[in-house]
Amino acid sequence: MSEQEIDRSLLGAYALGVLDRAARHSVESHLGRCAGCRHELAELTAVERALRQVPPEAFIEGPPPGGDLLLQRTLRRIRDDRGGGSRVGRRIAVAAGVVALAGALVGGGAVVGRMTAPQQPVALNPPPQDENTAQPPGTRMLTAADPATGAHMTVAVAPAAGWVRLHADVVGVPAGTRCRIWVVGDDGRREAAGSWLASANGKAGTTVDALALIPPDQVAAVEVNTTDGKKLLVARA
Amino acid sequence: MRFGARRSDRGSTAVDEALIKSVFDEHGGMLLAYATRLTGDRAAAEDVVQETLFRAWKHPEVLGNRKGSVRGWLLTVARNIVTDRARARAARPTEVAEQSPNSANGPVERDHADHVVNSMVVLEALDALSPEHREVLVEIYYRGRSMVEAAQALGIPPGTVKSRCYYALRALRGIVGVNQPARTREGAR
Ligand SMILES: [Zn+2]
Repeated sequence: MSEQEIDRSLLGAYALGVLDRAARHSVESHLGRCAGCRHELAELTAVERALRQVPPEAFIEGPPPGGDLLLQRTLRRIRDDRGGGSRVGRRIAVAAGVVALAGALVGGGAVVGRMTAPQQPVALNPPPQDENTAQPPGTRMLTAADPATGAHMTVAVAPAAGWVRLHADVVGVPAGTRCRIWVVGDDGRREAAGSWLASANGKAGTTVDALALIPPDQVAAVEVNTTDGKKLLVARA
Repeated sequence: MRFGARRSDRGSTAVDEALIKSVFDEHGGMLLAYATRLTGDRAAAEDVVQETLFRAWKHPEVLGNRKGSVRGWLLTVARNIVTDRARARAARPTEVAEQSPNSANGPVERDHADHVVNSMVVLEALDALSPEHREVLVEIYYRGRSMVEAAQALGIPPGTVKSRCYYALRALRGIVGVNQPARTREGAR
């Protein structure tokens, strides 16, 4: 009995950890008696350890779903870099209200939505010209992130005649927090644009549609505060 | 898709954009999924993907390699960006370290301390396998399917899945050093 060989192909499945309990036990009891199989298993196990270096995502093909905006931002960044990356040029664009801050980076330095990455300045990326979304022309995307709490927000500010529509995704605010969204004008004027109770599903967050009577070109920031006034997120235009 | 040409700084914008778009179309889903798992946050992950593609654009020579090593390179760059940023955050005493709900339980977290071979080498070796051997490993090992599920998905008998696993691993023995210590599996998967 101790001389009896097993089906060696079991060793591959064993090394990969996919044998059921009964088969695993029969392999193990054989390994106790068979130096040849122990040696072979050691080789296969070394291969398995090498396979661990590769994350499972390595086998995902194709572009990410909903990745158009990300692609456009990336292309814009490259265009900016080719063009000498003139920050002055970008600032002018910001002032003209053409530009949005896109691409929140959670873990940036400040509590508010200033696009700071620890490693290098993150460009103020103009919005894509040709993204396939239903946002009206002139819509600005603002973002805010609080690395201390993990809360973040993406808000689209769409122009209307003398006022703005907001479409905000607010994620990571503790469930049950009473929230209010404000639009802040460049003269410091503040308009409350809506309030809600943070969802228990913090990861999915809350989508907020709101309106505010502040002219599109005078929007300085969008804030989310608790209803008793504690600041949660500030996305600056 | 392969890109042999070196990008000149004065090369055309259209060519650059086509290059990055094709990298995005081929590898973007992989990168975003990986970065999302590492950071636990979609917005942060998008930023990592953007930075990774930017670096790829700066190193077009990498994009001329075979698919496996392009993918390995991109994944490594993305991981380094995530690591560097986490380190930079940790270096700031006033900040609370970000809690990433997804980053603690992913399979990639296994074993980063002992990089015997890097992911580029492994991915290249997987590319060099026959498609039949490669697909069983991908289904069983990376997609976590059981042998029965993999057999159904691939339309082959379970016994064939088992023997292909074995021959695939044997075919990959060349990727690991000859003097690997003989250890039994440590329960990783
Ligand atoms: Zn034996």
